[in-house]
Amino acid sequence: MIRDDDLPQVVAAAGNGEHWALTELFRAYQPALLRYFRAQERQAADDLAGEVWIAVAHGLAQFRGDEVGFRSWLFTIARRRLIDHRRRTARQRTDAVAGDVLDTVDERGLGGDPAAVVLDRLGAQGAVEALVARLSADQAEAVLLRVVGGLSVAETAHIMGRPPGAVRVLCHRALRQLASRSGDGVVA
Amino acid sequence: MTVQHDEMWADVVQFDSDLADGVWDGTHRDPEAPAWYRDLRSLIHRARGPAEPHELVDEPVVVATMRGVTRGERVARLPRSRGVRTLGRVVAMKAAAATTVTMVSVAAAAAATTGIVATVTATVVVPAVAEHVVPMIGDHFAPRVAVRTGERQESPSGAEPARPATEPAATASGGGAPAVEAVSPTEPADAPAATETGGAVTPPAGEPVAPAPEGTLVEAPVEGATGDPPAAPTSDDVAPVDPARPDRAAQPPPAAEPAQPVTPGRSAPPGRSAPPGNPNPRTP
Repeated sequence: MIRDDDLPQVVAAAGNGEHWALTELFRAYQPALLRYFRAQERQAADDLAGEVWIAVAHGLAQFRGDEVGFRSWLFTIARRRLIDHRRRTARQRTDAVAGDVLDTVDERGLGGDPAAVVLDRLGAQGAVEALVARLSADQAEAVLLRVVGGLSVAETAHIMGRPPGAVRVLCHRALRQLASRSGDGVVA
Repeated sequence: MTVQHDEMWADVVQFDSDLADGVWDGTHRDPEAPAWYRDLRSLIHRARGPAEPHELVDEPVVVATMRGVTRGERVARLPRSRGVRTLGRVVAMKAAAATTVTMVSVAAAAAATTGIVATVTATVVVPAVAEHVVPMIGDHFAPRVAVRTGERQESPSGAEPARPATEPAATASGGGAPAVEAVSPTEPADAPAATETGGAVTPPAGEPVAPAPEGTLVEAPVEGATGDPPAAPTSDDVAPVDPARPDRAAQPPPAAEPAQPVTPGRSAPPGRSAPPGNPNPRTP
């Protein structure tokens, strides 16, 4: 993550094509971008991330804002690219998922013994997928933007085009869903 | 009650925005929080963890492309990511391998039909087998061919004459290499040896052939099609390919007479057959 004070300078240099600045931006935000995409469109995640970076490069010269604003702008572009991709592939959507993959995702959830989740075994992407496994699409998106994107409720609501209260409800339902998978019987 | 407490805790998160932000940031530490929250917090921390190496593999391409875009180049799409390229390469290799196998199979079938396989066997298969396979096969496991002494050289099958036993053994596998079929001890001595397209027969390399009295069975090596001049072909066998003229394929044996149609339950007399249009003369 780039410090808030440094971001305008980095963005300005990146807008001028400075290699170091572009590299710094990429290294700071590419992981979150990839995790966001891979949790929702694993097959196309890398390509979508590339498209986002091209769009960012096109708009760098016009960007004005702080670090949170840059992050919000980045994930706004990411969400639009994701929606465009889903529209494109809606007709020929035949992603076959092997059963063992589903089993793996299921194991990664919070179900069962919490110690058995074996968090040490999980990478960042595994943790992201464990978070959003079994969540609805809206819940998953809200959680991803809040956790992976590091965005507030207001920013998440702005990106999703929903009222902040709706995002809070989505996150709360996601939380109850996660709790219900913990095996504690919090939610019947 | 613990369940009730946990449920209330989860509901409080909804209405306390600060608490909710702390929960989803993974920064909220509450000793009264339910146990599952600790796991959730761990997941959140990991999900927001530092970059992993595989997440930055496209950095050179992306940064170079972004640099070009900021300088006015028009780029609509990045080259495919490295992972996708690798996957595509693997798929291409598998497709190439499958194509190769198919082509070899078709060629082998065609060669077996035309007799070219003898040349292929002589030039490729036999040396490879003799060099790599034969040494691995122990003498005890090497199959041998029993032929009668004295008729080996005069085999009417058109098979090549026997080579010295010290030569590398020839093995015809899956092709039409002329090879002498094993002669059963009960088989008449004048029975012509048939050629076969399969059935590898390999004598042990370096094993001397002991002289045997006339009419007794000895184990003789079977040679492949390497180098040795072919014997005069007969009309009953597939003509071996001249090794010196590999482009000349052996002529296939004359086709057998077509089988006469036989009426079920009532065989036609010799020299007569059922009318072609009505195999059963009883039915109109």
